[in-house]
Amino acid sequence: MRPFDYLRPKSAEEAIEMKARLGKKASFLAGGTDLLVKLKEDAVRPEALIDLSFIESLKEIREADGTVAIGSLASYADIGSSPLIERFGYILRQGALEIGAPQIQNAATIGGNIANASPAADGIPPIYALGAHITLVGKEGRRVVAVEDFFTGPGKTVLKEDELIIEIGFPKMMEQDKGFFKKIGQRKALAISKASVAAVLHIANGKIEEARVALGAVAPTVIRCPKTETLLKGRKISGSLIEEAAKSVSSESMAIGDVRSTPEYRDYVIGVLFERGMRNIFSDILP
Amino acid sequence: MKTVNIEFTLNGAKTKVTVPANMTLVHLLRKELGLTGTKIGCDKGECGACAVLINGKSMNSCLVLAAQVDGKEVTTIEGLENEGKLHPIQEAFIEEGAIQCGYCTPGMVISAKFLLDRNPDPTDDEIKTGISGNLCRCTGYTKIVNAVRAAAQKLKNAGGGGETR
Ligand SMILES: Cc1cc2nc3c(=O)[nH]c(=O)nc-3n(C[C@H](O)[C@H](O)[C@H](O)COP(=O)(O)OP(=O)(O)OC[C@H]3O[C@@H](n4cnc5c(N)ncnc54)[C@H](O)[C@@H]3O)c2cc1C
Ligand code: FES
Ligand code: FES
Repeated sequence: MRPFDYLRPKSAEEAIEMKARLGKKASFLAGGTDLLVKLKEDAVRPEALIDLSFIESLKEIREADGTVAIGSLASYADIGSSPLIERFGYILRQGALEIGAPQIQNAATIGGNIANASPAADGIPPIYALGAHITLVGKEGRRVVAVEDFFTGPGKTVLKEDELIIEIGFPKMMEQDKGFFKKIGQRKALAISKASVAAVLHIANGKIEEARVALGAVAPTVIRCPKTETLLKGRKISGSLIEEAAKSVSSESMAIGDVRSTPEYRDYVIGVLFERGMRNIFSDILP
Repeated sequence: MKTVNIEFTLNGAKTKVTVPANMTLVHLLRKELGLTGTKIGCDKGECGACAVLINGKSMNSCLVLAAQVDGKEVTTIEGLENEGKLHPIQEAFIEEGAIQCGYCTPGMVISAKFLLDRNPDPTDDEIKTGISGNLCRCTGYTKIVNAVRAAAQKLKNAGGGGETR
């Protein structure tokens, strides 16, 4: 690694002030699981690192009327073991437990996962399906961005040079809500997703009142599936509806080929993943 | 600052060092402090050979800056033995023949410690998930899983009953 200055802010305010002063020359450091790899590969060359990992207040996971807010510095191990997440956002827990391996989950933060903006990141489809908002603070103040508006391309986001991701908030999943996250990788652990899918369905009187379906690793960013969501809306759960929706998911996938797999495989397999996830959560009412 | 003064607890002992900002923890441990039990395999987070416990949590020390352990507690493989007696996990690895070249072993033992600290009675699937961030090119894992299972049993026996009072 090239030499760099090391700065250690004690608060979010101090971190933002440092970033505003240094601009592009500085990078935030959270768990380091993406950034240190890039530094070693000489893919990025910051003159200074602003280490966020000592800011305890950004690690909290808390609830406030109807929503759950996750501090950007919460690790995936924190998220995976949080009773609040288990109760009100368990699809994110399912995603957290798929990240790398225990050593990676202990270091990797949700803020770093989001800022890194990989279309294959496992923490991102769940927060799309949960309808999350991301709170950013910079020298010009605070803004809250819907997760769909945050990502603009692979590795690209609307985050400004002086902005820090503060927290990720989402409405609680309630009793009537069901959801899942599923991923397929090269092997069981430490594998980048070839395709992943997250869904949250709001059920009332045996019908789907609202659905949010998000796909990972099959487009330049994680994407929602508007056609599938419309198709599911107002319908009764049945095997044939799930099959129809799975076909629709495959048609909304916009996979490209890469070293990990072909586009045809990805478009197909994501429908299969969706169908499996749906059959799991509705196993009690399906034959 | 291009160098950082840090003070941390290393295997129970207070340690004060000045480190370059760009030095990783594994480098500090091996090259500066002579603790070569922790290994470097891939140097990018994928093999687990460099795993250590930081405040009780396993992390790959090739992806942690030395500066980041300031004020923390770091336990390496050297810190597991107690007055010359191996830790039950280490004993189990030897007894079950779970070590061939040994390169992955320190990281495997650290991952096993992290798992068993939280889950004293893991299923085989939980053991496999627990060591999923550690690659072994020799054993084929079967004996490692056996060793972790045996270690769990040893630790339970050592804990002894527990139900009294
Ligand atoms: C072996 C290995 C396996 C992995 N497996 C997976 C996997 O299965 N699934 C997956 O999704 N990812 C995986 N990853 C990638 C990585 O662990 C995650 O993306 C992780 O969440 C990144 O978080 P971090 O805290 O380590 O970020 P860092 O590396 O510290 O930072 C990443 C980027 O985010 C910026 N940043 C960090 N925090 C903030 C903030 N609060 N505000 C603004 N910018 C910020 C940094 O400046 C940097 O550019 C893996 C990585 C490794 C090394
Ligand atoms: S050397 Fe650190 S994980 Fe391989
Ligand atoms: S014993 Fe040789 S790598 Fe595991």
